[in-house]
This record gives sequence, structure tokens and C-alpha cells, in this order.
Amino acid sequence: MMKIVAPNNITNLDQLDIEQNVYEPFASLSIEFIDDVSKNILKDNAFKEFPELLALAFWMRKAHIMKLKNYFLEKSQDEFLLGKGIVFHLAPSNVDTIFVYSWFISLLVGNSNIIRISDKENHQIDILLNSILMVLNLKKYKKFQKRVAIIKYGHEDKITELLSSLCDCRVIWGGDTTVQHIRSIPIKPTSTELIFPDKFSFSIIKASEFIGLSNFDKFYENFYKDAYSFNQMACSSIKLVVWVGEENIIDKSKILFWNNLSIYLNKRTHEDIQGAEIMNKLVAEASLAITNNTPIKKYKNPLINVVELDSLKFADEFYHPGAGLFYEIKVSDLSEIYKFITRKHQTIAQFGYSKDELKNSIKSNMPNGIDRIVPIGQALDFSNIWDGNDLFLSFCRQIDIQ
Amino acid sequence: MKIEDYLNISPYSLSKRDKRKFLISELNKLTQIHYEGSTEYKSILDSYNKNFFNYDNYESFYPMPVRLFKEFDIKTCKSEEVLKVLTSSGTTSQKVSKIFLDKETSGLQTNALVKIMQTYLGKERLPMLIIDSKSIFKDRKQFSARGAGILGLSNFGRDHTYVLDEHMNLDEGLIKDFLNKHGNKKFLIFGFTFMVREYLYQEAINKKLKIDLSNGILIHSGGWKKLVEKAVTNEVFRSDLNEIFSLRSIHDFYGMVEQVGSIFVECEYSFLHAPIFSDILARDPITHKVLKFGQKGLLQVLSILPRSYPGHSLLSEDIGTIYGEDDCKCGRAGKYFKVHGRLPKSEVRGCSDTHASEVVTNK
Repeated sequence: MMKIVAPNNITNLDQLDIEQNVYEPFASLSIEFIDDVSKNILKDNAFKEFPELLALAFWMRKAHIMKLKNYFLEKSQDEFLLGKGIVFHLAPSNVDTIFVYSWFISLLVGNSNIIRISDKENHQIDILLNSILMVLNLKKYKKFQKRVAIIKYGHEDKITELLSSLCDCRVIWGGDTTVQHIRSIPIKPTSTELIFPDKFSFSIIKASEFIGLSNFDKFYENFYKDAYSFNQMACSSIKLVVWVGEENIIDKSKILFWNNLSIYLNKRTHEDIQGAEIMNKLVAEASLAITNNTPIKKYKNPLINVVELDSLKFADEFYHPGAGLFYEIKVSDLSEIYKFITRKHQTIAQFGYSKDELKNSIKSNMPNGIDRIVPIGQALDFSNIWDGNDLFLSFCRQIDIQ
Repeated sequence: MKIEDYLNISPYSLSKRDKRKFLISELNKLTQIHYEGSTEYKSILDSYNKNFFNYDNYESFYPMPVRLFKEFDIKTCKSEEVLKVLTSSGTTSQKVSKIFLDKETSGLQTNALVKIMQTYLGKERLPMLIIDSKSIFKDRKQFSARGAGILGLSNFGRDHTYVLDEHMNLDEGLIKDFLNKHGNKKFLIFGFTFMVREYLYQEAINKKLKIDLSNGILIHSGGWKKLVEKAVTNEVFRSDLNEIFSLRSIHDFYGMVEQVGSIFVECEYSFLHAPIFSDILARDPITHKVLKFGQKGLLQVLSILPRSYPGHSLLSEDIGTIYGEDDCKCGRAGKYFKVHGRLPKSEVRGCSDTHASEVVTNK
């Protein structure tokens, strides 16, 4: 069932009237609106149990937005950047905060926005939406009535067709199938499109650094965050661990790592893990055993099953069930991984490398994929640079004045 | 003891110790046979790099996820020995399980089923009312679970009377004729739980039919999912049938196409019972640790019948509670339990909104 969440003065899509003219980038009204939403969320206890929503609220605080403003101004120093007009965002149904980041970055550069949200029940999205609407419906944001539309609907192509015909830029967050399907629905010849398909992410650990680590607890906390949030199912979640170094050090590191991770997991509760996910994992690992004869290691905690692969080549092709299934591979040098890297590979969450080492490594190997390399613990942090695009710039037109 | 001799023991007569001793030795033998005969099974056991042989307890046998039979063709016997292939009744988009039976396994299954059912029905074949349609047997080569269930039970009946047409409409005339002929003596009724409720009970209510099934013994199966959605519990199901048809002898059974024969039949006290050919464990759905009696968990079914495919120790996707062993009020030995339903499907999480929660593997 289609539902128009905003603006609150229309009941069907024929009445939808969205302004195409843009605001000045980082207009004070836009910044104030985002800051008000942030305050509204941070004072509400309902959000306390959702760390992703709190992270979003911190991202929206005025102090942080001003940093983003400086960043944008620096980027646009010599160029003239204006918003595209109307941006249509199609959000995935299960990463709750993406639509807000996508919308607010577009809002900040001056665009009007149309947001599609899945009609599937989602408690987190509902409380988030309520909080945003409370602010949006304030009198001082009356101007936004014609600059934002939020529509909840399922896979109804007719609605997507209509909204696509209105926009100057379409943003598709979703799986490969969704991206492919929506791409078949036309946009205006002058419109652009930004897509975020399925991606595969992994971790790289320099064994010699790991074995000499002094603060293991922090390390596991970071690894836990990157691997187990969203049940390991986000595009940036760690699904594979690449060990780099001498064989004997790797072997020692591996034992230490998985056993200690198991101990770390035992200390936490995992109320959100479901029996079906564990079952999917058992089926997936047994299937891999049948097709590839891959060794499987189990640990004391049920959320660690490690499948040893002998090549990185296929890791992104297997069905990944989440629930703590890890592929593992060892290489003697970082450069060995690049020949397997494809466009599908997104984030490397690394441990043990300096920024310069990584830059040089990328420079000399020029891989076909990899969108970002971050320290372990930051894989799921949102950044305005995503899948190789700077969203601020992607939502803008550049006017060339000679 | 040989399995043929074992089959002649009354199916609910062995106490825990004797039963376990024989089952464990058979399960160890079967693990060896399947390890040697099935490359898929061998690959899995090898991957875990564990010694899978000569266990002295049920817990240690590899609980093979039953869904693997949907993903792969897994068999231990040679292709030319395959007598028939059973398939589960999947809905349109679902994959179906394929179970390969050779003569030996098929024979053992039939024998075990006979021994179990005879304790409820007696040795004589009974006139049989089938709450289903004959049209289910269109394709003789591939047996669906529904068809296989009917055929399996048909061996216990005579004058088989199918009372539904292909559109699931009840033919009252056929029932009346059947009851005129056989209604005064013991007779057998078989149907799938949902169909008995919807196409017999509901029809009778809607059309205000007077049907006397007081001499009938109803054997039914198929799960409660659809009925629980309509708030029809086993208790409601039983008491409604009792009230409308005076039907008192009602036995649900729990079984799966992956382990035909060694089924678990419901006793007079509404507990399902493990016969001497099979046993059952409940595991924690997350840790898979074996649970104590009374705790609700994922059911693992063990059976000594599967020889042509590695189905002797299976992890089902059903949730149930085992209440005890050898001390049910009905007097039958063995574990007794209830099945509460399926393991709830997982919600899709992550970036993509298109992944199905069903496993897709690369082949």
C-alpha cells in the first residue's frame, strides 16, 4: 500500500508538486533543519538502543555539518557548484539510516528531494521518520512542503515511473536485482543516476603486527563492530579475513585471533541472532564443502565458523548467510590480493598498515576495484564518499565559467 | 542382532538402554556406509576434519541440515539401484527435496511403517476413507510427499475411497455410500491435517452435513502452520472432530520425506512417540547444544532406515519439545514430544532488499 508520508497536505501522487529550483548550497535553513532533527533524536530515549541512529544524529549536529560545509567549500573553491534540482532516492529496506544520509547531503547542496521508503514493517525507520516529521511539520520549515516528498511503497513500478519522470538525479541504494530493475525504468534524458549495487568487503590483517598487539580487547571490539553489525549482511561488513605475512606467524595469529574472538563473543549477548540465520550458515558451509571441499573450523562460540579458501577468487560469489561465517585466506604479501580484486569489492578494513603503505600499494597495483580502505572498526561508518563517488559532488552540477 | 530381526520387535517396547545400544551401533555403521558411498556426505565430514565414527552417544552424529537435500542430489546407492525418487511437496518457488530410495531402504521403510501402524490399526486391512483427490497421482514417476503419504498408508486399507474431486470439493454421496457399507465397524480415515479441517470439517459445518465417523480411526499429518494461523490448535482440531463427527480416535503423525517409514505417531495423550527405529533430540536453535526434556528447540531426527542416502541423522527446521522418555501415560516406551511449528524465517538484513533468505549456492 502506497502511503505519502510527506508533504502532509496531499493524499495522492497527482497532487505532488515539487520545486525544481535549487537553494544555495549549505543554506542556513537547511542546516538549521538538520540540526533540529539531530536535537529531536538525541533528546528522545527511544533511540538509545539503536547505535546506528545515534551515530546518524551525531553526524547531523551543527558542528559536524559546519565541517562538511568547509569540506564542500574547499572542493568547490574555483568551481561553481549548484544542486541538480530534484533528487529521487530509493532506499533499501533494511539499512535504516541510508535514506537520511542520502537525502540530507542532497538537501545540503540545495536540492529538492523525493524519497522512496519500503512499505515493509520496520520499527527503526518508523521512529526515525516520526522524529524527522515532527521537525519538518514545524511552521518555520513550511517552505520545505514543496521541497521534500517521502513516499512509502512496495515494488510498484507505476509509482517509480512517475517519480523517476520528475527527477534530475536518481539514486538507487539496493541489491543488484533492484538496481538492474529500476535502471530499466526511464529517467529524463537530462537526468543522471547514481547506483549502489551489492558489494563485498573484507579485512586484511598484517600478522606480524597483530601478534605484537597489546590491547586485544579494543581490537576485538572493533572487529566485532565491522563484522557482526547488520548480521554481517551489509555491503561493508567483513566476510573474509586475509592474513598477510610469514606462514608460521599467520598460523599462530589465526589460532590466537579466532579463539580470543570466541571468548570476546561469549561475553556479549546476541539477542538479535535468529535460529534461521544459524541454519542458513550450516547449509552454506556444508554446500561449500560439497562444491569446493573447503575445510571448516568451528569455535566455542556458535557465531564463528571459519571456512578456509585457497584463493580469494570466488569468495564474493558464494551465497553468504551472515551469522558469523568467515572465509579465510593467507598470503605472504599484500600485493598478492590485487589480481583477484573486481568492481564488486568495496571496503578493506585493515589492521597493521600505515596510510602511506596503503597508498603506495594501491598506486603500484592499480586494482580494478576497492572503494575504500579503513582501519578495522570503521567499515560501517558512513562517509559522503561512497563506492567511489563523493555524494556532495554527485548531487551537484558544475558550472564552468571561463 | 540384525536389522531384520529388530524390525520384528514391537515398535514401542524397548527401554532406553536397549534401544540406544542398537541404534547407536546401526548409526555408526550407517555413517561409515554413507561416508564411503556418497561423495557429498564424505566432503562434508572431511571438511569438519573430525572423526565421525564409532560414537557412543546420539549427540555426536553429524546432524545434516535437511535443506541440503533440496540443494544437491545426495545418494549413497549407485544410480542403477535407485528404485524411486521421493520429492517433498514444495510450493511453486521453493526447491524440493529429492530422496533416492533403493530396494533395501524402500523395503525397510515399508516394514517399519507397517509395524508402527499395526499398533494403532491392528493387523487386518481396514476399509479406508481418504480425504484427498485421486488426481494427485497424475505423475507416477515422481512421488510428491502427499502422494507418497497416501500410498504408504493405503497399504493398511481396502476399498480405498477418495472423497474429494480435483478441485477439493467434497463428494457427500461417496462418504454416505462408504459409511452405509463400512460405518458399523472399525475403519480408517487418512488425510492431511489442513485438508481434513478445511475440506471435510468446514464443508460439513457449512452444508450442515450429518456424518457419523464414530468407528473411524483418523490418521493425519502435514503440519499445523496453516491451521495455527487460523487459531486451530491440535486441541481444537480434535474436539471439533469429536463434536461434529463423533470421531474420537485421532492420531497426528510427524514425519518427513527425508525419513519415510520411521514416523512419529501421536498417542492418546497427544504426544508424538519415537518408535524403536528412530530417535529424536532437541537442540538450542543458536548454540545447537542438546537440550533437556521440557525445553523447546530445533529437532534432530535419527533413523536407522536410510541406507541409500545419508538421512540417518538430520537436523530439521522444526521446533519442538521432548517431554520425556519411557514414561508417557499411554504406556509406550521411547521419547515423546510435540512439534510446535517451523523455525521462523530470518528477516533479511543488510544493504540489499532483494536477497531471499533461502540459500542459493553456486553449483
